[in-house]
Amino acid sequence: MPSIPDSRANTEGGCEMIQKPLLRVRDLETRFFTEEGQVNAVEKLTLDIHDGEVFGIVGESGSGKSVTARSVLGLLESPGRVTGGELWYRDETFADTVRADHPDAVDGDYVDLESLPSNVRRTLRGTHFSMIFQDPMSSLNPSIPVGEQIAEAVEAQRRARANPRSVASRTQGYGLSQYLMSTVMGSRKYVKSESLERAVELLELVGIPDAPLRAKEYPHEYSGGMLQRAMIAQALAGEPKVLIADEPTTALDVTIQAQILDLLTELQEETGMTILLITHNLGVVARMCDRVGVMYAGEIVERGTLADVFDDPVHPYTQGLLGSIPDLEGIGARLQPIPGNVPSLLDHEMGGRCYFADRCPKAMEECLEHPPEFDVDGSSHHATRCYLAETTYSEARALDADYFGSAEPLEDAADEPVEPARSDGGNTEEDSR
Amino acid sequence: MARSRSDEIPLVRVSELQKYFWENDSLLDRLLGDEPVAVRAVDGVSFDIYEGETLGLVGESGCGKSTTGETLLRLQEPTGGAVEFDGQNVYDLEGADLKAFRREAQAVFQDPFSSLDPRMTVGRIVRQPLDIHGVGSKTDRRTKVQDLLERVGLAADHVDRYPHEFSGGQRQRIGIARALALEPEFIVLDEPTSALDVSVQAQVLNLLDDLQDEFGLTYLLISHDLSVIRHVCDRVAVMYLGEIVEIGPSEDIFESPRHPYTEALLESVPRASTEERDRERETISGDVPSPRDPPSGCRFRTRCPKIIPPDDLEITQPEYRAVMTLRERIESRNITLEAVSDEAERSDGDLEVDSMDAFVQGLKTQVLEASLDPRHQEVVDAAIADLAEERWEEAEVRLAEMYASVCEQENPLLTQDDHPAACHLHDPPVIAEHTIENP
Ligand SMILES: Nc1ncnc2c1ncn2[C@@H]1O[C@H](COP(=O)(O)OP(=O)(O)OP(=O)(O)O)[C@@H](O)[C@H]1O
Ligand code: SF4
Ligand code: SF4
Ligand SMILES: [Mg+2]
Repeated sequence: MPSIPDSRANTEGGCEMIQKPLLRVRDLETRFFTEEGQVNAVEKLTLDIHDGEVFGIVGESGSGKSVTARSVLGLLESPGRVTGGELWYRDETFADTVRADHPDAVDGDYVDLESLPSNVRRTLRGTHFSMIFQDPMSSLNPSIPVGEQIAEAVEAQRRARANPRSVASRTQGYGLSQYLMSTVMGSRKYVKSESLERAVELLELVGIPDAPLRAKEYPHEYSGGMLQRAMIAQALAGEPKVLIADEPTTALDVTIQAQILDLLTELQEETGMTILLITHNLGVVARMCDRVGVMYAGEIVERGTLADVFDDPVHPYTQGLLGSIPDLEGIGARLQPIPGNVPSLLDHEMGGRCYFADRCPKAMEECLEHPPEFDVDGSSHHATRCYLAETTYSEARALDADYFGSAEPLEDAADEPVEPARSDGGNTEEDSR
Repeated sequence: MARSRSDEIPLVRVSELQKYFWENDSLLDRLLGDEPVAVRAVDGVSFDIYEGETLGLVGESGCGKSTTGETLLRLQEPTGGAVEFDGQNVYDLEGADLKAFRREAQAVFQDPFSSLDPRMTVGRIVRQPLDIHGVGSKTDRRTKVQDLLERVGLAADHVDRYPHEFSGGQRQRIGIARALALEPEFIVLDEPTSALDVSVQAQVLNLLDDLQDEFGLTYLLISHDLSVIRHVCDRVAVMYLGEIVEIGPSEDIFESPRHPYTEALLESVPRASTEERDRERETISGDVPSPRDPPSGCRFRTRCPKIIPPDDLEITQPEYRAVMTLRERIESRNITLEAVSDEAERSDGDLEVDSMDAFVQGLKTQVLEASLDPRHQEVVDAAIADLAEERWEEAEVRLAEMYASVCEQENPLLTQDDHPAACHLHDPPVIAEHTIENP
């Protein structure tokens, strides 16, 4: 029987979260096998997510945020595959359900979802894990009234709950035939009226005005903000324990974004569900999250509480990201961009060094060897994949400015001396721990 | 930049600019007798842009920002109004004058992935405006293109590469190089960094800033991102549903916004700081109405948290907002009565279908967003009872008599000062003495 590797958050004292984490992701690796080569979209990703918290994953385009979410849900499509790592989910009932058939996947009340067959894993979807996306039309069918679609989700989840061990494939089959029928036959009802009632309740819960009327309308009759709400209602149909939200407000205007964020906060407080929030917007993270992981090139390069990451960032990438955002509260000085571009993640181009080294203003000789994750002093949740957690930056060991060649001549740094990150001058400690 | 510039002659003067798009306007529609519907994308906007400054145009998607930018460059024909560039009406220009205007006024667009022709080399893309305007000899042009590429932070030897070989930030630099080729005076920047990551956005914003200093450029920066606007702009115009609701020096707009919509926008932006968690903010409800049928009076009134009640009416702001939203829905017939009757039936086991009381209570929980003082409750209950018998107009009139707001009757005009706002709260005295009870 496998055992779960210990995590820092648990072994260290003085941590306010005494409960065991709900999710323990260990060394998760996801690869895409494409014509150009192997893409290392997620690289040795390790995380703990606790009951009822909002955990944020923030990073720039292509850093692997969405692939991480899909990997956790088991929703990857070819040519993508999880090639390594464990994904422990704590649920006593579920552990009891699968123990007999898959003893190796169970450890106490934890189940390693990665060692379950996909049909068993699928039973968790909707009832334990649900996902919402940036584009609501990816989960709503344009030819079925919104209420009916949510009612369908309600029924599928009821079925799954009633018999978690065997319905997997039937749920699928049911969904498909239902889908076919409803597209062929238009809006004829194939859902029970009690499911429809529940659907209307869910629409009300997510703040759709006049839900009974709206339930009968088609997605194209909804505004962008309302579609987002409808998708959230659909995701909540199975009362999931974990909601994974991938850029849920990115396509929305700020006033509507504020409404949707408030809605998520309210729902989280009411239901106590856990939210994994994926976004590129640091403001959204600051508004919503208890803890946060910063992704770069498929790795979590820094993680900790909101204060750890925002107020005491150690990784130069985190510092650079914070220094790049124009400040709403005052006419900032010149922005401090990170020179260069996000790397491609192609395995044969990544090399063994720190993936950020070619853009890092503090790259040193040791950075040519890939950094492991280090604890950062001062907070039990704070960790980073950067030598600066342990060493002080030293000019003597600094890499030459053109060490990585000037393949990317677009550096702003070309006309100015490179000064490390942070526009406010607050946290640029040359002596970073 | 200078604050009061009213004595200066602006480089660009936009007066009452209008741009409508028409729907149902095909031959078939006319044969079928369908009335064409106007989409009032830009509905009478006026502003000035002074030499060397950056004016920001900010607002939510669909409010008419890009149409304003395109129309003032004469990339779209206006429905009405005028734009003066260097003292001449842009829409009257012909021949050599028009050609000169096309050189002086350039644009950079949002999407670096679709705004560059994928089949052209970077060199040709940047050179194209020079070719069209017949600038210099062939070798002159080639040298010029290489200079431009270097100036925007690319390498001169990139000329022979194709756009797909570049990252988003680099493509945006190519677009900027092209816009600079003819040495323009004025550039419309339409969401120039929206498709870019923040770290790369910062590179491009810095570049735009440097170029402005170096070439004395004047910018109109269109963006939905308030942080970018604040960082870059000297003055800011805020648009809502085809109109400018507030315009003024950047600092004033951000430090002391005067229009309730501007306030709501600023409130809504989540700040990237650890204090954000506990920041109390008031969000506004509802969506932007359709530009096909904009609200009468002030266009923001359907969402405004400060909408002005009649003088003699005693009502709190949340109550008034709730009543006004209810009126809105009655007027647009946007309430299902049957579902409520069903509900009444369901909850009381088919006996109470006819019970007016159950209907009124049921509908009220559906459609009213706040609880009301007994005085107002009585009026609203009576209106809902009208609805039970489908007497929509009576319900409308009953509520209008008591609750009609100046905000729905008169379109507020931009005040005439340094920092104009179009809101009845800022009307010149006499009408302006409304006391608003905030929650
Ligand atoms: N279907 C696919 N085939 C090949 N590669 C893929 C596929 N999906 C994602 N990738 C690659 O995986 C990496 C991570 O992508 P991912 O979508 O997770 O980024 P992200 O952080 O969510 O970015 P964004 O902010 O743009 O949504 C990228 O290099 C991407 O090109
Ligand atoms: S490990 Fe070295 S190169 Fe990488 S981020 Fe840290 S200091 Fe920079
Ligand atoms: S005019 Fe009335 S509705 Fe419009 S913004 Fe001012 S207070 Fe609000
Ligand atoms: Mg993504």
